[in-house]
Amino acid sequence: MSTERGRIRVSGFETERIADHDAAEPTGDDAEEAEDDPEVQNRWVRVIHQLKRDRLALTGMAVVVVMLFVAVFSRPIVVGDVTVQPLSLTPYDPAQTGVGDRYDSPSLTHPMGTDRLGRDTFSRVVAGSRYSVTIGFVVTALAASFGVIYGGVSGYFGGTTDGVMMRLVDVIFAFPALVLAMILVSLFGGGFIPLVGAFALVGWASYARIIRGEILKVKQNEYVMAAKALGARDKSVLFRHIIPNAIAPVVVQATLSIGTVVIGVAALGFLGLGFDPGTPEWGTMLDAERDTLITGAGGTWFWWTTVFPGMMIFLFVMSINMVGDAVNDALDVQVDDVRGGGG
Amino acid sequence: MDLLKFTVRRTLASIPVLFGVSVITFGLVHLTPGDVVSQLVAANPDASQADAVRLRREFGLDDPVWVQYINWLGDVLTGDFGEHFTSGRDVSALVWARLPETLALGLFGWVFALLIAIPGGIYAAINRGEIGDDVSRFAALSGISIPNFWLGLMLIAVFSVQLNLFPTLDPQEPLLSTSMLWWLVLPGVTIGTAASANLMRIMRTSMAEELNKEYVTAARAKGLPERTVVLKHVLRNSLISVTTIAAFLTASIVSGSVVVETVFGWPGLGILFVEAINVREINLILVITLFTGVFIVLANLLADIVYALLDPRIRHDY
Amino acid sequence: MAGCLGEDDDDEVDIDPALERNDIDVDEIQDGGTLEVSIPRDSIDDYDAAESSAAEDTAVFSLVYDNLLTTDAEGTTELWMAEEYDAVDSQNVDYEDYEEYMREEEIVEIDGGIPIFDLDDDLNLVLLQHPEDLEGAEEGDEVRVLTRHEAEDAVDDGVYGTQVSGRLHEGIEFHNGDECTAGDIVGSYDRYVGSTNQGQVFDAFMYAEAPDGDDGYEFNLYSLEPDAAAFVELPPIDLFPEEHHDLGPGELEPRAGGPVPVGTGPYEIAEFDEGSVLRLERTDNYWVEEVGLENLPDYDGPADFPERPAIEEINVRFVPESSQRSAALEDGDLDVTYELASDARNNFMQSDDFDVSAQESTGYKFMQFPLEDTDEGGAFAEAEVRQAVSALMPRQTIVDVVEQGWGSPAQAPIPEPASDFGTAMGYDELIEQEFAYSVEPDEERATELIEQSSFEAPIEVTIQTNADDDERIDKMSLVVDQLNQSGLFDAELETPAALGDWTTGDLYTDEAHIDDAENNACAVIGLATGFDPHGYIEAIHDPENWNGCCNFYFPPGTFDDEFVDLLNGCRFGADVAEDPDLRRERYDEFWEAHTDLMANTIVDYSLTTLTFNEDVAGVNCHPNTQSIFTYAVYAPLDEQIAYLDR
Repeated sequence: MSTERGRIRVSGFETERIADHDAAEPTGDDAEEAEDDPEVQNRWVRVIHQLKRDRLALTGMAVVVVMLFVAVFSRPIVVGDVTVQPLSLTPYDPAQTGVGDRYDSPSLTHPMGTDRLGRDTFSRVVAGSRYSVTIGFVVTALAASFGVIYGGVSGYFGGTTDGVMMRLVDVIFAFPALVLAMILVSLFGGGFIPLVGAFALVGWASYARIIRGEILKVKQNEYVMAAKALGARDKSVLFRHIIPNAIAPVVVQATLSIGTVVIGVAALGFLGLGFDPGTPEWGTMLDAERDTLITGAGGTWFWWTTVFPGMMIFLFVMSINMVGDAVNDALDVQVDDVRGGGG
Repeated sequence: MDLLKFTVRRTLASIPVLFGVSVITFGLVHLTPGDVVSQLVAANPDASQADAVRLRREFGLDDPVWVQYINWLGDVLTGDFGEHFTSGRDVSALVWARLPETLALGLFGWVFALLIAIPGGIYAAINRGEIGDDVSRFAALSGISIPNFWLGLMLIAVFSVQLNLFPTLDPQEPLLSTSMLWWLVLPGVTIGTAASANLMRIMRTSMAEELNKEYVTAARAKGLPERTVVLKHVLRNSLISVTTIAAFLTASIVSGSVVVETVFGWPGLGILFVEAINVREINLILVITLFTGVFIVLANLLADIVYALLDPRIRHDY
Repeated sequence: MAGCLGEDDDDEVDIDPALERNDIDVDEIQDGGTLEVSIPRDSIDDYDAAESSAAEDTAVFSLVYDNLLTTDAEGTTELWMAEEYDAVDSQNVDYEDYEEYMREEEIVEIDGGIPIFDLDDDLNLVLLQHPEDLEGAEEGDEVRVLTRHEAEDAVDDGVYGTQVSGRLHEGIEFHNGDECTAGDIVGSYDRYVGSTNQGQVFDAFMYAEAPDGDDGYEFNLYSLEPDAAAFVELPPIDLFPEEHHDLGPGELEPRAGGPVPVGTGPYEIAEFDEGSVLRLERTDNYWVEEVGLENLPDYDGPADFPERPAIEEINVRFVPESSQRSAALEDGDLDVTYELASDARNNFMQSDDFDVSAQESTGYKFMQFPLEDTDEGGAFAEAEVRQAVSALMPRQTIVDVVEQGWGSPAQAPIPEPASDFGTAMGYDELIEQEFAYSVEPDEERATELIEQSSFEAPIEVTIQTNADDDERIDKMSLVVDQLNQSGLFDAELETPAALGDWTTGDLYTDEAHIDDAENNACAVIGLATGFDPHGYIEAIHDPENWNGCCNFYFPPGTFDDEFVDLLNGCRFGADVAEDPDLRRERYDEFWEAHTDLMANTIVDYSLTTLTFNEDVAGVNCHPNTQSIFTYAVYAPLDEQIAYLDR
C-alpha cells in the first residue's frame, strides 16, 4: 500500500532503542557536520552540484516543473468572483460532454481520444494534474511541517513527554496507511480538502519519528549543551540550532513521499473513495473507465481512456522519485525507504 | 535470556498500541455519517423508519459511542469480535475464511519480489556505476513509481485479454495446483512489483557497502576468486539487512492487497475491507484494522529479533 | 452539448432482437450438464432468506425456493405451488374496528420518534398502534396495540381487511422429503419476526391460518387493511420446511454451522464454501413432476413439456467486476452472466457466438422536487418550474448514451411490466396521453412554462444524486448540460455522498424539504418496486412514508387531501380490492394528477439482461433480476426452459 511506504524501517520501531543506541554513539558525518554551520551550508551546495550532474534527476525536475506549470494554467482559477488566473491550456472544458463522439480514438482534434460521454480525454488528463500534483505537494508540506514540530518537541523535551507523544506515533504506524486514509476519507467525505487532510494525518508520523531520531543525536552535541548552559530558551535552541541541523533526512523523506501521496490519492480515487465520479482526477478516471479494458467478444479496447491517466500518474511519480533519489544520494542520509505496493 | 526479556517487553509494549488502534478506528468510524442500517434502508421501499430504529437497537448502534466501545472491548477480551450486521455471522469467521486467499496472493508476490530483487541487486552492486547499474536503478525507480492498480489493469488488458494467456476466473482447483499457480501470476506480479523494486534498491546498497569493507579487500588480496568472495562472504552479510526488511515487506504486501484484490476481483481480506468501509460494517472494519495492526507489530518485532540475533551489538542494549 | 452524442448511427446496436423471445423445440432439449453462471458480488451475503437483503442472493436462492405464486415475463402473477388462490373478501375496516382486540402495552422507550414495546414473546410483534393513544405519548405510557397474538381473535370475529384463501397442490415435497403443507405456510411467517426483512412481510400481513390443520392444504391469509394488492403482498417471501421454522433470523446459515437452506425449488445446494464455491444440483423430488404440469391451473402449454429443468447442475461464480464477467464469458468460463457494461453487451450481441436476452424491468430512476414555498429559492414550489425541468430532460439521449440503448426512456409514471393493474387503457395508449413525459427535450414547452412561472430565466437549480453511482452521475451530467443549454436554467450537479449516507444523513431529515427548497435543489435516485403499480406511487409520494424510502420532501400536509385520497384509493379500500377494473381506472386518474403535480418525475426504466454463449439454448430474461436464473432454466408457465447444447 502506497502510503505505507517509508513508514516501515529497520531502525524504527523501538524508539527507546534508537535513543540509547544512537545517542551513545553519534555516528560519523552528520554529527561532525552539525558541529559548525558552514559545513551544513556546504552540504546543500554539494547537493545542488550533484543534482546538476545527474541527468536522470534533471529530467525528473524538468517534468515536475512542467506539470506544476500545467496544474496552474490548465484551467482558469477563480477565487470568489475574481479570476486570478485567466489562462486555459486545455482545448476543451474537461467537464463538457459531447465535444466528440463516444470513445473517439486519438486524433488531431482529440489527441488522447474521448471518453464514454464524449469528453476530451486530453483536456481531462491535463486538468487532472491539478488534483494529483497539488495534493502531493500540499500534503507533504503539511505533514512535514507538523511532523517536524511534533517530533522536534518530543525529542527535545524527552522523558515522559517524549514517551507519551511517541506512543501516538506508534499507533499511527500500526495502521496500514491506505487503510487509515480510507477510514479518514469515509469520515471526511471525498474531495480536495478532505483528501489533503486524510493523507496529512496519515503522513506526519514518519517525519516526527525521523526528526526525533536526528534530534536525539544532535542534542548530545557540545554546542547545543553550550547554548543551553548559556541560558538560551528552549524554543530558540530547538528552532535555531537543532532543527536546521536535523532537517536533511526530512528533506529526503519529503521528496520521496510526494510520489507516495500522489499514488495513494489516485488509489483512493480508483477505489471510488476519492473524488466524485466524473471528476477529471486520474485515479477516478481509471475507475470510471476500467470496464473498457474488456468489452466482450470482438470488442475493441478503448485503450486511450485507461492508458493516459495511468501514464500521467506514473510519469509524475517517476519524475519526482528521480529527483528524490538523487537528493537522497547527494545528502547521503540513509532513509530506508521500504515501500510497499504502489498504491 | 536477554532476548526472551526483550521479546516479552516488546510484546507488552504493543498492547497499548493496539488499544490505540482500536480506539482511533472505533472513534473515526462512529463519527462517520451513516451506518450499516442506513445502507440497508436507503433505497428499500419495504423498510420503514420503524425498521431502521428496530435494526439499530438490535445491532446495539443506538447506544452512546463510549458504551458501544466498552461493550465491544469487553467482548473482544473474551474472544468475540462481534457480528457482521448484514449477514449476522461472526466477523472473525469471515476474516479466517478470507485470510488464505490474501496469504496466497501475498506469498506469491513475496516470492516474485525475492526472485527479481536479489539477483538484480547483486548485479547492480557488482556493476556499480556502470550501465547495468543505471538500468537497474531506473527499473527499480519505475517499479516504485508505477501505481499498482494501473499496472494490474494493464497486465489484465495485455496478457489476459489481448493475448489471452491467463484465465480470468479462479480455476477452482486445489491451492497448489499448476492451474492455480498460473492464475496467481498476474495479481502476484502486481502486488510484488513495488516490493521487488524496494528490495532491489536495498540489496544493492547493502551489497555495495559490504563490498567496500576491509575483509573483502583482504579476501581479494588473498587471491580468492571474485565469485567466491561475492557469493560466500559478501552475499551472506548483505542478506542480513535484506532479511530484516523482508519482514516489513510482508506487512506492506498484505496491505497492498486492498487495491490489488479490487483490481483482480480476488476474494481476500482487502476486498472485504473495501466493502466493509462502503457499507459501514463497523465490527468488520475494526477486526481487519486490528488484525493488520497485530500483523505489523509482529513483523516489526520479528525484524527486531532477527536483527538482534544477527547483530550482537544491538543485543547487549537490552 | 455539441449534439452529436448518441446520434451517430455508425456503430449503434439494434437491441430489438434481444427483446424477442428465444424459442426452442421441445424435442431438441438435451438433459444434463453444468451451467456456469455468475453473480456480481464477491460472495453470498446471507444464506438465510429471512435476513438477506441482497438481490444477488435472491437471484441464486430463488432456484432453491419456489413459492405459492410466480410472475411471468409480462409481469402477470400466476398460480404456482398454489392450486387455488383468491382474494375472497374485503371489507372497509380501520383502527376503530380493531379497538376491542387491542391490548395495553407500555412504551418502554421512544427512539427516533418510534415507540418501542417490549413484547415478552419472541415471535410476537406490534401490527397496529392506536393512533389516538400515540398522540403525545411518552415513555412509560400505556398504548393500545394489536399484536400478532390478538390478530387471531379479530380474524375469528371476522374483523380483517382482505382475506385471501388458497389451496396448495398435494404432494409437494421439500428437498428433505417433508411434504409442504398449509402448516409450512403458517410457520414460515415466524421466521421473519425480528429479521431484516420483517417490514417487508408484516407491512400488509396480519394473520395466516390452516383451516384443515397443519397437515392440510387449505390456507387463509388476512391483511390488516382492505388491500387490492393483498393477493401479491400476503404470501411469505419463502416457504421453509418444518425443521427450519424455529430457527431465528440468521440461523439458517451453513457457513456459520447452521443447516443448509431447504426449499421446494428445482435445485438444492450441493456444495458451498466461503466466497468461492456454490454448486446447485437439480433435486430428484421436484414437485412439478409429482403434481404434473397438466394439473397447474395456469399452464396451457404442450403436454410433452418437461416437468423439471434440463440442466443438471448450476455452478455459481462470484465475479464482482463487470469487465471480469465479460472476459470470463468470452473465455468460456461462464455460460450466463448479467450486469455487463453496455459496450460489452453490444459486442456480445453482435457476435455470432454469444447472445443477449433483455426484458423491460421494474427498476427506475426518479427526480424528486421539494415543494416547500420558501422565501429564498423556492423555485420548485411552482409546478411550472418542475414541469419545465421534466420537459427538458433528454430521456432518449440518456438511454442512448449512458445505457447504449439498454433501457427505456420514461414516458409514463409506471413501466410496462407493472401496468397490468395500473391502467385501464393499455400501456400503449397510456404513453400517448397528453400527460406522458416527452423523451426528447422540449425547449418550446419549457420556455412557455418558465414564462408562466413567476421566475426569470435562468433559474439557478442544483441536481443532487449519490456519489457512488457512475451511471447515475453520467445521466445527470447530461441533464445538467441540457438545462444549461436551454438558457432557462443555470444548473449544476452535486453528488453529496454515497447513497446510504446521503439519503439517511441529508434527505431523510426533518429539514431537507426546506433546506433543499431554499437551494432550489432536487434529488435523483433509483428504485425497484416490483410488479404492483402501487409501488411506483406510494414509495415516492405517500406522506405517511415521509422520511422512509423514498419520500424525502413531502411531510404530511404537503399535498391536498384530494391527492392523498386518490393515491390511497388506488389500493386500499374494499371497492378496489374487489374490483380490479375500478382499480385500473383509479390509477389512470392518478397518473394525470401525478404528472400535473410533477412532485416527482421519472427519468428512465432499466432493462434486465442476460448475456450468454451459444452453448445455452432457449435463454430468456425475466423482468425481475431476482428471478432471472430460475426463470431462464425453468418456467413452464411461459414454456420457458434452457438447456445446454455443447
